[in-house]
Amino acid sequence: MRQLWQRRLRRHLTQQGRYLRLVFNDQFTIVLFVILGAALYGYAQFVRGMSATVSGWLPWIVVVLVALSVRVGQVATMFTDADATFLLPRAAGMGDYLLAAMRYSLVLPVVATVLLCVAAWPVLSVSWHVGTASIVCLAVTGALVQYGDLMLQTNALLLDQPAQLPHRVSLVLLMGLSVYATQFPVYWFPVVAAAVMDVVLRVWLQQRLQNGQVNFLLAAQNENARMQRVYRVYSMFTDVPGLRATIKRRRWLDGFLRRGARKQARTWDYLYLRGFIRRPEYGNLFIRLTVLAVVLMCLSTVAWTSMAIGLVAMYLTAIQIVPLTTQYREVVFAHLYPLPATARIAALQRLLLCLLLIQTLVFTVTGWLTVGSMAAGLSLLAGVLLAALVVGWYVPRYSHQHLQW
Amino acid sequence: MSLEVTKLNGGYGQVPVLHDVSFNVPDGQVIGLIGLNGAGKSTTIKHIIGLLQPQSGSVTVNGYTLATDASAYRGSIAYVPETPVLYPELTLREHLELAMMAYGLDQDESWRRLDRLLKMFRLDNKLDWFPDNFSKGMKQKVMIASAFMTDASLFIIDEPFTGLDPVAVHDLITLVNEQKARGASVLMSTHVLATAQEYADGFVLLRDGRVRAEGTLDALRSEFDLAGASLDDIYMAMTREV
Repeated sequence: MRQLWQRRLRRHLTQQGRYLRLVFNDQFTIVLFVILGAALYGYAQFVRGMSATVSGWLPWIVVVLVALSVRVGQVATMFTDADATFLLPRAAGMGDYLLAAMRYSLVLPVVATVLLCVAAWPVLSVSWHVGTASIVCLAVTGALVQYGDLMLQTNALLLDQPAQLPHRVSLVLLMGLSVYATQFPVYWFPVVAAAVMDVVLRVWLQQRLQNGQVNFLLAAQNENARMQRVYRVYSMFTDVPGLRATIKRRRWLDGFLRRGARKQARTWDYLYLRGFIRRPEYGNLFIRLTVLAVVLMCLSTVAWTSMAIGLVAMYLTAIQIVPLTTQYREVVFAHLYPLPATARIAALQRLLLCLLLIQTLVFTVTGWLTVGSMAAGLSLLAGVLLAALVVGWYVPRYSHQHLQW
Repeated sequence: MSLEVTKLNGGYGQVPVLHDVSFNVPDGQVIGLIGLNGAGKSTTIKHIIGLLQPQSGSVTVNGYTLATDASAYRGSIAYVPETPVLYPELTLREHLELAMMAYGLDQDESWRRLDRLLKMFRLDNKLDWFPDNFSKGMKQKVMIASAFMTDASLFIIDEPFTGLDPVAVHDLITLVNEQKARGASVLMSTHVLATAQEYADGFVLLRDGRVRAEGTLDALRSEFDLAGASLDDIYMAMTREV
């Protein structure tokens, strides 16, 4: 079973490497660095200028965020639906496999938790006067708690398991208390508690794995759901075969969708609008990018930084939504409609222009409220120019490259 | 003459699959497109509906080609694919509305026709559902309803009976006959030879990308020298040929 794990891990890493090369392409990497730089600068400015009122409630937000970070980790088992048939005779002998999976799965959540603790340090330092030793202990506690959570998740893959939720909630509470404890002399106590907990859990898990049988159906279901989440991120940058479309009905928008004349010239508008609203990779992404940009702009005190954040958000929105043009390539009817080839491009231009102008308006208002009229003016001008450039140049270029006429 | 295929040579990329394929589907007739798996039936259909470009030869629908008037050409064809193809994000109502918009159909008139079709296929109470969640047979009915609500002059139906219950098969044949009586042409690719023999006016037998035989059942019997043979017998005789 160890050999099976190693074979699957090699295949998985090769596949993920291919996707990650596409994700972290030149364009995106540059944009990422720009966003990171702007975010760090804005954060530093914000912490320096934090008022007493903000110092009162912000650490509690940090407590909640760090506590919830425990839920980030997931066991990557690489199980497939076929395993329920072909590995069933070995259901009782998968201990080595599961422990290897658990160890592999530890890396990302531990790194994420440690980085989050480091990121929280400035706020905690200013508000609660937390020192270096406290933060180090908090990071170590985070790593130990993630390990404990993964052990509980691994145990949950065995048959005849009681609900794990109460135990996992306890870990979240432990993490929250650990953050709170950083301001007191007993900041080291959560480390000790987490370490003891992990030792006990590890011994218990070993016994469970020796006697228990894997619930392959549940394990494959969890793994499929996990990979679908990962693929959805990749699908923002490239086509991912086998990615199932997730559709949200959004019944509350039916009234809005029923409006508008049903004209032949607006066929593609009809389809694209529903695709944008009901496919989370478009609609949710638009909202997330807009909200994230607004939050970052609120942390900024400089007009040009505020404008840059808005522009980056609009650029990312555009490059993620433009692929809607080719979304329906696999639907044969999209190639059979008696419509001119340009109708498709024109419909996407109309949708994208509308979305980018909405963002321009939101960022203009945000800039005006947080920085002043200079930021608002810059955001408005830059936003309109970017929208015109994207709609007038990028959309037709992309469409001609990717659509076969 | 609704559909004229003349010396069609085509395939996928540079790989030729069809060789000098020629046949006609006259107005008011149902023609069965018959052949083994891999004979070129679906490839022929893809060339007709414009998904593939011919390497040589021509396809004319109502006198139009894709080159002379793509809009009129596409507007003349209603297509029912072998595998139902749906938009995951559209409800059944929206699928039908989209088809009406794409083909420039009058909404009121189309819904009047659909009222009968949806009741026939027991889809009338599912207009706000996502067809992507339907069973295969129900999805096929959505395809049929979308096609038969139009005024197309050529209906291309690829393996229409797969997944349909016997009542739906009967209803589809009724719809085909109605369109035939209206003067439309119907090209139907199918492996259900008994049904094809009963309802089709003529047949095109494909083998290895070529038209092996074409015509009425009597003409095929003559061609294969099998007096009184069924379409099934003729099909088996064709497959046994060297």
